[in-house]
Parts: sequence; C-alpha cells; structure tokens
Amino acid sequence: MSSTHYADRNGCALHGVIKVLDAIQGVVPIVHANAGCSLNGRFSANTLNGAIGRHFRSPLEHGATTLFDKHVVFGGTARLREQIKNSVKVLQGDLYVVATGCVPEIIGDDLPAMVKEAREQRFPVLGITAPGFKGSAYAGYAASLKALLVGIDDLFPKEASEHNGKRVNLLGLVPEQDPFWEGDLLELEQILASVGLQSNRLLGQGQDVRSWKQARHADLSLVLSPWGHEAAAYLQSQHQVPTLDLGWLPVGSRDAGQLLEQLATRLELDEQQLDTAKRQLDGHQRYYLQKAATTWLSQDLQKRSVIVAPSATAVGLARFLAGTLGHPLPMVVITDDPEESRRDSLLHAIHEQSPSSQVLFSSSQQQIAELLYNAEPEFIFASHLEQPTARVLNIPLLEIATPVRQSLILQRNYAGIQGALSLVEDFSAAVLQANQGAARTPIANTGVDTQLLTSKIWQERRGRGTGSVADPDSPAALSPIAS
Amino acid sequence: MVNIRQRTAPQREKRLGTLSAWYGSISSLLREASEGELVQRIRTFAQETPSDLILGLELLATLRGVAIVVHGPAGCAAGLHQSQNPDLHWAVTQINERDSILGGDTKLRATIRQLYADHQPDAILIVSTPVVIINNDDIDSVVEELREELGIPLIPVFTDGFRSKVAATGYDVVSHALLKELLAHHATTHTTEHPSAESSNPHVTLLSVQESGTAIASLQALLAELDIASQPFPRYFDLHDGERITSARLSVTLDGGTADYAGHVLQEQLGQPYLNPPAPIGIAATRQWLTAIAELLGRQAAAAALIQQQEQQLASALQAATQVRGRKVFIHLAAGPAISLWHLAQEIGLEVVGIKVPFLDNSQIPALHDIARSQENLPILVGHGQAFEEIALLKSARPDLYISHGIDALPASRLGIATLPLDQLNILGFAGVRTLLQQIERRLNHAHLQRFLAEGENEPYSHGWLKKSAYWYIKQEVR
Repeated sequence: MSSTHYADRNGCALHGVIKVLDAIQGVVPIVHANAGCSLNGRFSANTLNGAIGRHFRSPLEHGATTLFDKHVVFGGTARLREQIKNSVKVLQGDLYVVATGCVPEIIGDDLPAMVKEAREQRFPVLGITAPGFKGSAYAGYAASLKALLVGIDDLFPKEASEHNGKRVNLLGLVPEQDPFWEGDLLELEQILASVGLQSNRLLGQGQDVRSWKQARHADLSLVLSPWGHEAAAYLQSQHQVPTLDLGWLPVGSRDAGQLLEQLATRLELDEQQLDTAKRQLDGHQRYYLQKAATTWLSQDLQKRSVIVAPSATAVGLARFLAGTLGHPLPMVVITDDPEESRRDSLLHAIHEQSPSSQVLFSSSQQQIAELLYNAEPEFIFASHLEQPTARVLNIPLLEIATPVRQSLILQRNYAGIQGALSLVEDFSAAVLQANQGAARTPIANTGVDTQLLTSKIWQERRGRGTGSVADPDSPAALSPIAS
Repeated sequence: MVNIRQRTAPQREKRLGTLSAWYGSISSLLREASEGELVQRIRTFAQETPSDLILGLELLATLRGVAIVVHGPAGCAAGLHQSQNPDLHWAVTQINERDSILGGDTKLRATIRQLYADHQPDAILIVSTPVVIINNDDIDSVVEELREELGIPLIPVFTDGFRSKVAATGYDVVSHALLKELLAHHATTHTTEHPSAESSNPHVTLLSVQESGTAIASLQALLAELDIASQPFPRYFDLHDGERITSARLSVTLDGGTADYAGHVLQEQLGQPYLNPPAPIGIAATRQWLTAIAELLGRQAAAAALIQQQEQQLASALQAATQVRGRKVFIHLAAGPAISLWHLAQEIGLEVVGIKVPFLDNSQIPALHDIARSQENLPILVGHGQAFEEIALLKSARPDLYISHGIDALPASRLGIATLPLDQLNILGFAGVRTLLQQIERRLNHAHLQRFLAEGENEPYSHGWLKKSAYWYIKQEVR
C-alpha cells in the first residue's frame, strides 16, 4: 500500500501559525520567509476564505519580508529589522507577531535578537519560529498557541480579571484546517452559556489580544483536539488554570450533555441548572430529528458511511452518526497525524459508540482511496481529495474536512446541537441530490439523458399548449400550464 | 539572451530588465527609461507577493497527462489545491527537519517510483523548492537514475522561491524545463526531415502562461476560420503534442509578452518565427494580432475579410454602450493585457485613471509611449500584491470601476469601488469586446456588495501611512 504523500492536506507549520494570527483581531502577522509562503497557506484554505482579522485583508496583504537571493546569501536579519520597524508604521495593530519560515531557519537569522530590539523601542512584538519542515499546520497551531501565551506573559503584566462568573478557554480547533472552526466555537459558547459558563474562544470574530490576556484568568481550559493540550498545560503550570482534555468535538445533544456534566463536576455547577440545560438541548435536537423522520425513513437515509477527517471532527462525527443516527460506520480514517500517545483515547472515544469501526491513521490521498474502495461505503464524509474516489464508487460525498471546494463556509458548523442538525441537513441534501442525479442518468443502453428529454417535452408542450405527456414525472405533466 | 543548455532560465530582471517596484506618472517612467536602463528598486516595507514556485506550479497544473512531485516541505505544494485539472496527480516529498540536514533524495526517489507505479503518467515533473535548492539536493542524479528505470521523461523544474524578485520567472523556468525535454527529443527524432508545410493547414503555437482554457479556445476558433490550426504552449500543453510545437509555422504570444520565453527559444533553436503583437483585447489590438499571424502565413485577404465582418457586427454594440462612456476605470493586470485594455477603453469612451502592473519588462516601454502621447500624467504603479501602495492611489484617483483578477480586487472592494474580476470571463478577441461591454455596464450598476463592505471602519492601514505618498518605501537598491 502506498505511503506517498499525495495531495498533502495538512500544510506546514508556518501555515498553521499564520492561520492562527489571522484569526485574532488586532494581531498583525509579519511573515519572515521567501515570497509566496503565506499566500501558499491561503491557497490550501477552503475556497480561499480564511479568517480576516479586525480589518479585512486579502491573501496578498500580509506584511512579509519576501527574502530574495541576497538575503539567502548574506542573511535576512537586517531585512527583518527594517520590515518590523516599518510594519508598525504602516499596519494598524495591537500586537505584531513575526512568523519565520524554512529559509530564515536554514540560513540562521537571529529572530530573538530582532524581537528584543523591537521591544526595546517599545513596539509590541513577538516572534514564532515555524519552519515548514518542522511539522504540519496542526503542529504550527499548537506551537503558536503556546508561543502567544508565553509572549503575552512577557509583554503584558497580569492584570485583574475583567469578568465575573466562571470562564472557560476553548482550545484545539484549528482555523481553516478545521473548516467549521468559527461556527463550532460559537456553538460551543452557546452550549456552555446554557449552564451559565462564559467562553473565551480566543479565535474568530470579536476575539483580540485582550481575550488572550484574559486566558490566564480562566477557571478551566477545555481541549477539543490533540492540538490544544500544550497550551492548556502551559496555562495550568504557569497560571493554575485546570484542564479538561476532551480531545475531540462534541456533536449532538448526547455528547454536548456529557460535556456539560463533566464541566459541572469540575466547576461545581448548579445541578438543577445542568439538568434543565441538558433537557433543553436534548428536546431541541429531538424535535428536529422527529421532523426529519418521515423523509429519513421514506428516502431510507441510513447509509453505511465512512469518515475521513482530522481527529476532532472524525471522533465527533463518528459518535453522532453511529450513536444517534445509527449509520453503520465500517471505517474512520484520522488524517491529522496525532501523537502516538493520544491515539488510544481517540480510538476509545469512537469505539464507545461504534465498536465495530476500523480506525486508521493516514493522510495520503492514495492510501485513503484504497481504504475506501475496500470499505464499500454508501456515503463518504471526507475532504475534496476523496471526491474522485466517491465518483468512481458512484456514491455521494459531503465535504467536512480541509480542503473543502464545494461550499463557502462562513459560520456553518457541525458541533453541538445546531451543528448536528446542520450535518443532518447537509448529509440529506447530498443523498437527495445524488438520488435525483441517479434518476437523471442516461436510460440504459440508449444514451438518452432523461433530464434533457423532459425539458424537450416541456418545451414542446409549451409550444403546443396541449396534448398528453407519456412521462408522468416530467415537469410538463405536473405543471398547471399543461392543463 | 536565452541558453537552453543552461540548467534553468535566467531571472526575468536580468533577461528583460524587469521592474518589480515603481510608482509615478507614465511620462516620468519613460523619461527615466530614455536615460538608459530602468533602475531596479526594492521595498523597505513589503507585503506578500507570489514566487516563481507559486506561478510555476499554477502553470504546471494545467498540463495534460503528467504527474507532479514537489520536492520540499509539505506547505510548498499547497497551491496545487487550486488546480481545476481533475486528472492531475501530485505528491510532495514532505521534507522534514532531518531531511533538510541530511538531504531528501531517498524520499524523492521513492515518491517518483510510487507515483509512476500508481498512475503511469506520460511524464513526471520534479519541482524544487527553497529548502532543497539551498541545501543543494542532487535532483539531477535522481532524475538521471530513474529516467532509465522508468522509461518516461522525468523533467526537473528548478523553481526556488527566492532567486528572482519577479514571480513570472516561474513561467520561464517551466518553459525552459519543458523545451529542454522537447528539443532533446526533437534532436533525436528529426535530424534532417521537416514535415512538409504544404501537406496540411498550417499550425501555430499560442504562447500562453495565464489565459483560461475558454479564452484560448475562443482564439483558436478565430484562427480556425482562417484555416489555421493552433495549440497552446506551455499552458494546457499535452506532452503528446510535442511534435506539433517543434513543427509549428510560428509562435505567437496572447499576452503581449509575459509568455515570451518559449518563443525566443523556438526561434533561436529551430528558426521558428516568433511574434509578439499586442494582447488581443479590444478591436484594434485583435486586428493587429490576427493580421500579424495572417501576414506570415499568407492569409492576409481572408483575415481582412474576417476582421471587417467582425468589426461590423461589433459596431452597433459599441454605439449602444452609452452608459459606459465617460466612466473612470482603474486597470490592474499584467502589462500586455493592461496596455491593450487601455486602448480598448479609448475605443469605448472610458477614462483610465490609473494602471497597476505586477511587473514591467523593459520590452513594454515602446507600447507605453503610445499611451503617454495622449495621457502623459497617467499614474503607473508596479508591484505584485503591495496593496498598501495602491490604496492611496485609489483614494485619489477615485475610479468608478476596477478591472483585475479577483484576488487583486479586494482592496478596491473595501473602498466601495465597483469591481470587474476577469477570472471567469473571456475578454480576448472580438467576442471579448462584447463580453467586456456587457460586463462593465453590469458591474457599474451593481456594486451593492462593495458599497456595503465599504461602510464601517475596516482599513488595515494606519492613518499615518495613508497620508504618505505611495512610493515612500520604494528605494533604489544599494549594492
């Protein structure tokens, strides 16, 4: 079986760092790399749309040192000094963060010295070393969270908490690499609010440097993937913020309820409030799944499904699809290459709801294609890279992982209760469209496109304004104009 | 000027004196050019800009029947996710920290073998990245070794991300790599014989690096009316068509010069005439483009008739475009298309209030003189990306319409200016004139989203910067 990295989906560390910096309002990234590195990161994002910061920027508006041959030979440190000094003058921001790529690492540019120099001028500047060859965008996310927290501790003295009540940091969802990150964070904020908890999302709309300063005052850090624990561990050791390491994304009312229970235990929440919240979440989901039931049964929407996604999404979806909707899940492929030590808990979380699922770790398009053929699925939850396989298997696919190419994701999400219902809607739409498509495929052996046929009939019918139509399903037969 | 025996193409700034940073009026640019070669400038504040690697990959992804191996860290290949080519197979060697120190040739060898075993492409392109170039990974010997083993062309494409300040060097690097392969093959199979020019309709090569498939097809259809067959190169090149490229009667650019590299090589190596007429955008430019080809192939009469017929058909559309007249436009395109579009603007009565080009080859200077004669104060900004400079210009020029590729249109949208993104449109040839007329009118009347986006404070640039002149950070390079 091939282990070649076809069509890499996980990007590089620098991309992960830039995606984080873009998602914090008032943070201005200064990319220290050769030309093209940050643009490339945006190309891997979903339909080119990433986070936009406070002031919305095009993919080409990142400040960047764009190192050329001269710098590669003689070093890029002086160029970085110049770029930092001028960035502060040209670009509005509260915090300027230098992110360095592969080339400065190889040629040995002195990032710490430049950051120190800038700080001596009283510029709020941090540096994050993120050469692409050191890991994926997920690893870059983990590294940048930690570096931001450490850097903020250095730059800003710990001031008083701005909030009353209990507050939870949400860690682990990677902007753009998790295509639904922004909506998922908002949904989790809603769910936590139902038991009176405030959330510190840290990333996305309205999240700024102040949110990061306040992370030190939180009552708990909730970790939602294998990529948030490093930051949580730092907050725990430096600022005594305890950690609840879930490691995946709760989808549906059952897992949302379980999360609330865990939070209630850890944060000593009011039991009655917890019960009420759980009942409401469950009731809401139940009402809408009841609404779905007729279609679900008449169109037979139970599908033997396969999931191909990064850890947080793969586990969350698997638990909901198997545990609540009852989809048989022969296989789950986890694509973000989590550390070995974290894999058992992911396996356990899937097998709790779907004991017979085979769980595999791979990011190779080719290898995954081979796995999918053998799994004989009826439906695929995966990325755009699995579309060719779905076409060959002639089954529908819903793009739920990066890269996404068939939809524009703004705040749509699949976490929590709203997310679970969106997932049901999008999944159903994909199946129903495929069914329509199947009804429209050429009539066997004649090569006649039935869609074309009915539209011809429709035109003839309108032209004549009378007559009968043999095909009872044609628009003409159903249209009042035909009468 | 170009030596195909070299490992790769020279930097565009060395070959063509290409500028990547400049701002001022067209007449001041021409004044400096008349005093000798234009002086290279750099930016002491810069924004992200594409590299030869990014443009090279974008171009390579349009080839038919090939597979691509990007030799470098995973992120370097990300641009390939934008490819619309469903048959493209690509892989990246995923150079990690260890490989970056010890070399990645083992991974490269394994990846090429696997790609061949899985997909049996007609050829495999091996694209290099900054890390492997700096570390001097020996791509050549891997290629040498596997070429024999696999029996298909393995073509190294030496992009590096830093050698050139002009991303379009990537187009030259790709052209160089493909031509090297083609010409080597040509030398072994065609020692003396040349295909008879009389035997069939003449065929020509359309030199293209940026145009869409539909745009190229529309020009092919136009040429077909003159019984001239054509094939694109290097964009959408099919390796099976190699002989058609080497046996073509001539090669001609579609963009006024960005795709010039292959034309020069084919002329020098095979004596094939190379034409670089204005980019066929607008009536006059399309006429010139078509006439230049027809003259060389003895099809003048047929071409004149076709042109007359097409122009007559367009006359009424031009007359009806009263809404467009007098409106102000800003053009942000490669120099060739931008210059032709300036002329089209004169044909339909638009006022051009500024031009931005990503880079400017010295060879474009003569064409700029024509513009300066009627508009000597026209502002010209040279920069790939670098929106921070453009914002000030847009605020003072106040265009009604901004014509560009979509990715470049965001800063203008933020200011509430109507935008016309050309990505999904064909603006080449006579058909393109009609499209442009319709689209300009439509965009001018429907800039609602842009106006919504412009409300509220969202400018990423500091007030201090917005008061400064756009060329503040453009300096002459100290050597």
